[in-house]
Amino acid sequence: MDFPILTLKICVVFLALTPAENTQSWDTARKFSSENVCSRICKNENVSFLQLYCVENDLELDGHCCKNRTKPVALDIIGIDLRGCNLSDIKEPISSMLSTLIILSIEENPLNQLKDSDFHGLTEMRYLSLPPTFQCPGGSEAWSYINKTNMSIICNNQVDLCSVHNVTCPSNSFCNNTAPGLYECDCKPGYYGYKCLRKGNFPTVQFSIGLAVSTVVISIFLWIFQRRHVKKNL
Amino acid sequence: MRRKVTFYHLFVFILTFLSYSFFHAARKTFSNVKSTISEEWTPTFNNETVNTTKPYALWNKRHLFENDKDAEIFLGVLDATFLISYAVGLYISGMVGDRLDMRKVLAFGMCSSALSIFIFGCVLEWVHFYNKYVYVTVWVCNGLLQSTGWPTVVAVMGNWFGHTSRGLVLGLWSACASVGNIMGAFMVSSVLDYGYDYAFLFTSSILFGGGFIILFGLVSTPTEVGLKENSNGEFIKSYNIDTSRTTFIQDDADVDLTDQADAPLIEDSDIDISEVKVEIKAISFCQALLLPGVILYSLSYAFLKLVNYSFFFWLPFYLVASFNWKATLADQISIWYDVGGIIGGTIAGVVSDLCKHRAVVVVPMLILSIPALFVYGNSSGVYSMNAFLMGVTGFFIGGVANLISAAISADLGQQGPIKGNNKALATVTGIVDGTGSVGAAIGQILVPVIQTKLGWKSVFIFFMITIFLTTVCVFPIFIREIRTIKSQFTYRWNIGLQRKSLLEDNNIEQISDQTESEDIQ
Repeated sequence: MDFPILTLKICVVFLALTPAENTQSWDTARKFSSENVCSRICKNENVSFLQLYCVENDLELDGHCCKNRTKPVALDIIGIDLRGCNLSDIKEPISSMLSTLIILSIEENPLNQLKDSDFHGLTEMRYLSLPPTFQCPGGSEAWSYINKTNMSIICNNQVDLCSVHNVTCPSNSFCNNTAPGLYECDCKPGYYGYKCLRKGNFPTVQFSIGLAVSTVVISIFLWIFQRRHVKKNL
Repeated sequence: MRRKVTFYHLFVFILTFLSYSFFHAARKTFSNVKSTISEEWTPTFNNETVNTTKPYALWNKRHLFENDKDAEIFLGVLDATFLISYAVGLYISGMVGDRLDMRKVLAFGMCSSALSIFIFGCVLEWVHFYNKYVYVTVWVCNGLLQSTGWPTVVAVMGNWFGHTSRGLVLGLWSACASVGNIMGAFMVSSVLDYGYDYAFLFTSSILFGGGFIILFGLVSTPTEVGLKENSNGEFIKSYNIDTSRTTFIQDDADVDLTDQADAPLIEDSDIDISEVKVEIKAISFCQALLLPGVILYSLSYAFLKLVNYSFFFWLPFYLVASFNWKATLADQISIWYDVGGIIGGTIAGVVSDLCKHRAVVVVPMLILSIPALFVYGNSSGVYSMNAFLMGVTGFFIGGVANLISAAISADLGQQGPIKGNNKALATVTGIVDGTGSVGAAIGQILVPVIQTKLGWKSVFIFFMITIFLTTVCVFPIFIREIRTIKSQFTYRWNIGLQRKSLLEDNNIEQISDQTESEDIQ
């Protein structure tokens, strides 16, 4: 058989066998831009919390994204409804909107294991709904209110762990919330190195050149005035 | 051209002064960066609000020591090993300095010490290789190399500054150690923000540059430039001496050296010099040890340096523990001790120059230091009072220490049997300072033990007892000098105290001996 014909047959068989959902998973594998995500076709007929919130707060609803016009040309995505989008992984869709996302709904998705690190950067998030089999990232101490229903688990109002725990970071560092349930002590601006002990940069090059030059000059000067008169008695 | 002090003297003073200051500045760097270094070696300590500080790589990655107590113990170990290798090195360096060209020994010591400090503080940090055994090994090498400093600089100064002005000049010159400490403290504080490795870089590279300058600029003995000191203490350019006849094999490792005969002979006439060749060898360790006064002064210096070093070192701890002073304030007050020591050393030097005897000044000062210590130990925590008493104590204890380690060592190395032989100065200085360092090392171990078991009052009593032992060691020399002085003066009720002239000497000595023996009977 011809090789091209063979590959064509294999493709046809493959396409015939795969259920309709899998074709959509091809889409998820592609890199998402925010426009793609917002205009994706997902199976979520019910009116979502996001839609209610968006309308209530007079924000722009675009597909299943809620956007806030902060500047004339910039649109921040503050909420996204990804229910029924057949996602197995959430990193890709939300990677471009981490710092501004307030609302995220991802229930009714065949999600794989979710790690806390997947939510890294979502420090503004106030409403997170997950499939009911999952836990809120960071556990119950990271959220003010957790509501479990048959359809989903809703994590409400992320807690500012830095202030709640009254964290005192070591000197030259400050407390920084990095993700729901996670915080760290980062070096204050200007400080760097292990334990933020270092500040500024030693002018090594200038110092070395200055020292070398002055050493040579002084040595020559002293040799002329001192050791030149030494009698080598042999 | 006859001159007592030439430009050579000025440069030798400045160069040796700065050379030893740089040594001390490099040494002081370690003490001043101790807290920073122990932070770099340990993970972060957890306080009540935080279990472990994140991120891990920023706060907990280093595990050379698990906590700051362990790091502190190791830093103490480093201190102790440095002191021991420094003491051992002093004995060796003195001998080496007398046998090889002192300038080269000093330059080599400065440059290689700088290199070892650079490795210790910079290289190991920049490649992030933290290993206890490497640290100890490098620091031991540093101790051995740093020991080349003191014997050589004192010997060079002893070569240039004769017996008559030695006390004053060396008293002032002894300030080099304190100046070095201040210099080191300043250098470290100015770059510590960039990291402790830059503090080490700064001081070690200055030390290296200094070694280079010493190699090219130091004239270690007057004879190198053809100057000879005559009996009046003046330096004459020996034009009429056929210097080409002098076999001046300073660069050889050969121990037997042939040199010109003593100055007086040359001065008087043009003798055929080849007939008057004197073999001058560098003296051996045992010969140096058996010189009159060396053992006594070495032992006394061991006791004295114990008090001197321990007092200086543990003072900040005492002030913080007893009076709750801030650590920086307590560190500052040690400067008053240094200042007192310099003034005391200079005055003691001047007075002993005038009396032409050293022990007669040493013993009274030591005796006076005992009440000074007592008063200080019972003083309050008021800063001004404390600083003043600190200065007074430093005047007596530090002053004597400066005198013994510099002027007296130089005297011991140029006396009686070896007068005119320059090849004993460094050896003797090495012996005296080496024994002193052993005493200091013992003190470092004893003081914390006494303090934890018996308290600070007992530490002061311990110091007073040690000073008493110092006095005991010098006492025989003191008695001998008193006798010599007594025999040079007469007292008549109608004339008063009079110096005996040389003519009357014999007669009156007999009479005064008779009267003395009558008195004793």
